[in-house]
Amino acid sequence: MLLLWLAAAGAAPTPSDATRGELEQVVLPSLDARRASAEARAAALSGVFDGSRTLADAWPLRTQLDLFDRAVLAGLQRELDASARSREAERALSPALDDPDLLERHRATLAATLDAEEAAGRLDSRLIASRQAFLDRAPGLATAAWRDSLDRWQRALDAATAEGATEDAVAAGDAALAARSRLEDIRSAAWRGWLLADPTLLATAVDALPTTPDPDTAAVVLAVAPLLGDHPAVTASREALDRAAQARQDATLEEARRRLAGVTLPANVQLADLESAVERATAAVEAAPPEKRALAELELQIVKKRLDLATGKAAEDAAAAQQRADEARRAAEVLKAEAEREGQRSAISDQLLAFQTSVATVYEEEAQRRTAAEARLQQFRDRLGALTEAAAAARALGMLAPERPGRLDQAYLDTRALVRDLYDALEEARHTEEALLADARHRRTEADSISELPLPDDQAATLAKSRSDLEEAFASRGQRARADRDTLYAILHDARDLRRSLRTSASGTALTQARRDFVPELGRELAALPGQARSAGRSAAIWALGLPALLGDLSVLGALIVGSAELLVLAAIWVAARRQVPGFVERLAEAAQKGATFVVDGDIRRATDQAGELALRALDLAVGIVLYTRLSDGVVGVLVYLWILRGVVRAAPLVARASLSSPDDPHPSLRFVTNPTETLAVRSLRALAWWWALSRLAQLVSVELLDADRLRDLASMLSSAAFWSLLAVGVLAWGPLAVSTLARQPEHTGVARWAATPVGTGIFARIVALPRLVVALGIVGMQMALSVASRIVEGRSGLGWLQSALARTQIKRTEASEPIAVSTEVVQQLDALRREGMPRPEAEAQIVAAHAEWRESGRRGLVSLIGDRGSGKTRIVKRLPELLPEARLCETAVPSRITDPAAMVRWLAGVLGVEATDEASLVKALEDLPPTTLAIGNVERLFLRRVGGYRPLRSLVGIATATADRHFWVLAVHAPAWDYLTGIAARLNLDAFREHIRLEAASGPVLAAWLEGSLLESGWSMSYQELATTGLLGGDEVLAEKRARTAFWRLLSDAAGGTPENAAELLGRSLGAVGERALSVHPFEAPTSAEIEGVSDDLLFTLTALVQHAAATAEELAAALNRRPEATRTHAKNLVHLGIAEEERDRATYRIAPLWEPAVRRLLRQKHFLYGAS
Amino acid sequence: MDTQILEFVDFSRIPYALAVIAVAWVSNRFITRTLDDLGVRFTERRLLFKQITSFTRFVILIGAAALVAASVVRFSSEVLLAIGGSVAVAVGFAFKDLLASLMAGLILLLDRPFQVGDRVEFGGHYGEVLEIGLRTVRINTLDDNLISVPNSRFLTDAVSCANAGALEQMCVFEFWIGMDQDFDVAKEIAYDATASSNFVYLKRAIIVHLKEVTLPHQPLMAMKVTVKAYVFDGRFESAFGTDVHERVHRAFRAAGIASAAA
Repeated sequence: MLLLWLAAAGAAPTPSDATRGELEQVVLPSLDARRASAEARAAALSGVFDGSRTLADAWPLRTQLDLFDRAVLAGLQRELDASARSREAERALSPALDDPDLLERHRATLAATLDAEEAAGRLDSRLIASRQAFLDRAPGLATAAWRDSLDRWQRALDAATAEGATEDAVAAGDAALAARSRLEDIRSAAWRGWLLADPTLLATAVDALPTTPDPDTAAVVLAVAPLLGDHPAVTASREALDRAAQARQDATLEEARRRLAGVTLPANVQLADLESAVERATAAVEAAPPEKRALAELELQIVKKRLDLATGKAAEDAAAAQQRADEARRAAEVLKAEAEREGQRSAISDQLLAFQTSVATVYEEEAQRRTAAEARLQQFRDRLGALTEAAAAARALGMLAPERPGRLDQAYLDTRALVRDLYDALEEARHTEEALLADARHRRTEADSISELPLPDDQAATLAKSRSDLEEAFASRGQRARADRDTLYAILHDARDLRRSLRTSASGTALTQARRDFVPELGRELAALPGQARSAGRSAAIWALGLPALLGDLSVLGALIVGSAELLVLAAIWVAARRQVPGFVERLAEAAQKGATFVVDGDIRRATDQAGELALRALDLAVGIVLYTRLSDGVVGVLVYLWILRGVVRAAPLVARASLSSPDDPHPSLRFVTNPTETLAVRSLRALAWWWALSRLAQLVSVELLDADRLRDLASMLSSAAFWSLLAVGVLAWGPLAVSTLARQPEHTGVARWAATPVGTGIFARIVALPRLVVALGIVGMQMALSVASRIVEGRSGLGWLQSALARTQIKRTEASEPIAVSTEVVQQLDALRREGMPRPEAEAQIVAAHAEWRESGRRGLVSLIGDRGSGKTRIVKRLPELLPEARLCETAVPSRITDPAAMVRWLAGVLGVEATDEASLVKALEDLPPTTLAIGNVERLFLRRVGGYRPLRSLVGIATATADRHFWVLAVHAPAWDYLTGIAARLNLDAFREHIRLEAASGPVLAAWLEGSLLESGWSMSYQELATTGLLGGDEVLAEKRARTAFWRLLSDAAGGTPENAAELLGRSLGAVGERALSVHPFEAPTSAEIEGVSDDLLFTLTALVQHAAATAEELAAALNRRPEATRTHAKNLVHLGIAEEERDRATYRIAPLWEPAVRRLLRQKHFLYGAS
Repeated sequence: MDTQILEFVDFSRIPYALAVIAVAWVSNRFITRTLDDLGVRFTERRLLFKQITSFTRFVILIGAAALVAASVVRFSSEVLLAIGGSVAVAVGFAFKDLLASLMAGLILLLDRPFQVGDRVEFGGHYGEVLEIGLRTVRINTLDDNLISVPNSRFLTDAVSCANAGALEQMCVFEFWIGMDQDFDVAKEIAYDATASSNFVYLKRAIIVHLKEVTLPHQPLMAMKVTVKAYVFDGRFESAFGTDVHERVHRAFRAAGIASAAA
């Protein structure tokens, strides 16, 4: 036993053991009980709200409290708040236990309990709030309004229940109890009716009251008048209270009369005075208003009494009697004043009650108006949503769906109807706002009139509260009305957007229908603008007020910083670019003046100024456009757009000034014109720019700012009208210039002659001559366009075929008769020209320059001179002594094809007069020679297209390269050969050449200047009449001959391949004699590629080889073509028989006939056999 | 059933359909001939004209077929729904391959792994693409055999294209010389022979490589001389090879350079 006791004693109870037990046996059960209680209370409270339970069920401990006393309700709410706070604190508590299961059970039970109590507490609060709202609605039922009555009833009850109470006291006590009961009944009925939203409950309770209520009952009924509305009991109660007040007044007066009857007066009062007084008092009674008649009658009785006493020789104390009379009178007056005040008080109460009722009416009406407004707005939103979906569904249909156009049209028309309805709704909303303002003014006036009455303090406070509620209602009402209008504007904006988008898809029928309503819709749009502007202003104000909060959002702030950084970078680029513009423009102007042939000369400084300013404007415009792409929304977007428009307007005249120059303003430009023309051009561009800018501005304002489509349409119409007006003005201004230009031209077509008739200076003369001015402008415009196009085509080599095609259309291809043969002198002159060759000053200058550079640098004295046969290579080589007079020259040409490098060395050594057997020795020998300019022609004969066939040429290039520091080498090469050799340039080390001087194909004008110029210098005249064509409408013969001449030389150049030798030959074939030293030019026949299109591939390869080698024997061709010599010879003979090739019998070489070479090369290029520059 | 089927045919539109077919046929012939003529005249654009011909033929045929079907056959949506199910499946299965080839043909024209006029190697066949048709691609091999390959095959299998729409294409020639031969001279000969060929396209560089190899099927080492050059027109590919080989071997003989197997 001892051991057991010791063991038990050693195991002392731990705090956790005690806590666990307490938790399980006390805490958890109590939490469960609390939860059950809270759930029961919540269920009872829910039953109160649905009418199934009474307040006593829900608040059994609070039924004794006066729940119509606001202070009690406030106290209850404070209790509930305190309970909520203690529950929060309880949630945070957790017992100190090491048993997780028990802890979890405690936590769950506690949470459930607190949640249930929280829910019950919310219902309690809801019930208290309902009661307070009820008292707000019917303040007459609050305990404060019944304090006096309750005290009176309590005193009556106390008196009735006291010992020795009289029957009257008991009756009064019964009456008090009954009144109190009625009050409770009515309050209870009113509260239940309010809670359950059932007005019949109160009406039923009121119906149970007596039809002629006593004042207390009447007061109760009037207290619930705001809830009863037009119930008859309200009227009856009001009348009962009036009667009670009147009765009190009458009783007071009766009391005064009774007191007066006991009053005696002294006898020594003068009878005459008394009789006069009686007469006066009688008159006063007759004249007194009804409310004062009783007093006047009392006065009369007093005076009569005095008279009676005086005549009755009564021996009373006059002063005492007078005093008593005066006291009675004063008491009567006091009582009367009280009665008056009581009456006034009743009337004021009525007025105040009516005022409070009207305040409640304002709330009710506002609630109804809100509901109706919300419903209408939602209706509009629903309509807009439905239309948007309908439009999307219609657009989603396939383009070929038959119902698509109909549905789109219907959506468009429905949207237009919605917009119209929205306009109507806005108008209605405006009227509603005005009506609400008028109503507010009226009610304020009513309140002012009540406040002027002598109100007791409690009523004054009630009035002040009611006025405050009224102002609050007005403010809220006004705010909501404005918000409704803003919402309508927002819906209208979206509807207009939808209408705008559907308009682009609408059919012509729908648009025609819409156009009929243009004017009315425009009127409505304009009428809606002020309201729209105010609404937009309110939105902007709200946005501005919310800006600080917005900036507090980090994401917004971050986006703003990033956007600002972009703008800062753009601004920096803009500033830097503006600084660079003047210098850039100056450099550009100088380069343009030097390089561009179409730029008129002039003072470069003036051009720089104008172009610089234009460039700055263009830069500003570009920055504006970039900025607009980033900031196109809202007011900022509009400002940027205005900036762009401004830039365009300011830049336009500068374009004219920079492009044109005049005597007063000479500067490099595209065209030189007269002063009036320049002024007119500037004005025209400025006018156009303003028109465009104003059109765009009108569009921007009407759509972006005003959201007014009809206004935009109106602006478009006005813009279109303005454009046509501008056009007409332009024609009237420019027309006379065009007429004078046409008049200056030598001869015209019939139409041109008519258009060139001078126009009078007056405005009417110009208007009458408008058709002529238009035609004149058209003709001049076409001439300018053709001139520009010709210049473009001339300037672009890739369009050579187009030039030729144009040229062929400009000359006559058939002749009336055979030309007469020209004289021998002409033939000889042409032969001489052919032999001498055409001067090539550019190429000669290049050689001279290269030579000079070599002399200065002492390096790389190796140039190639490349050209077709007959292009002038030999002439240039022969002119080298003239071109390089100080140079030691050695000129030679490769005599025939050399295919062996050693043979080449031997030949060159022989030419140079040195001993050499190989490359190295020749190089050494050359280094011993004094500096020499070595010109070698026919270098193409140093290669043959076969294995090992490039060695001689490579050897020569190697020798030249090795000695190019000491000697200046000019190697003349046939152009097609060179083009072929560039394909293996690395093999031949062609990069060693300092320069490749190419003799380009001579153009028509160049050939004309050489050939025609030479003949003209010799005294011959040349006529192109045989080539000229005339148009269907008659023609300018001189102009036609000019065109024919240009076309002839163009075609000649094409046919000759740009080769002077061929050109001379062809010219010789096209001249005819027409008289003394007069020549006529006729069409020439030249080979075309079409004539040989059908040749076989074998012949084409043969032609290719001949082109590349310039001339070759049959054996050489065989080696190049890898064919047997017999076959090659056959092909070559074929070509000779066709006339395409020529055979030099002494050297047994074949070459392409000079006149055939251009056609052959064209064909080979077409067939892709040749693909280089040749 | 036959009567019911005839309900869906608008006989009044048959003359219109026949006219459409005739116009399509004539247009096709005219355009093909015109473009072929242009291709002959402007040789450097020959392949482009062939491609335009193929594309145009496709468009004309499909457009004409659509027009004919839309004008002659009148199916309401109900009928389409009614017959759509099983008939559509049956027709789909029957024409599966044809439709697949048709779509593949369109994809070939748009995606262009090769074009008309290109030299392609596919399935062991090498030749020039003559036509990309509605159903097949026709290839003309070097031995003048015409091979028709269904279009759908080209979507799943790899095809090698030598010139990708250009006239010129690369050709590779290989020569084997003994290890003891003068390869410098051999390289020079190979280069010169190629550069001097009638068919070479010198806008692209000629490249000559040298490599030591073991001859196949023989225990012999050799120097392989590889020449890569472009022919200026793919139709001369074989002739180019022949020309270069002749020149090279002739020059080798003259220079005393022996081939590897000698």
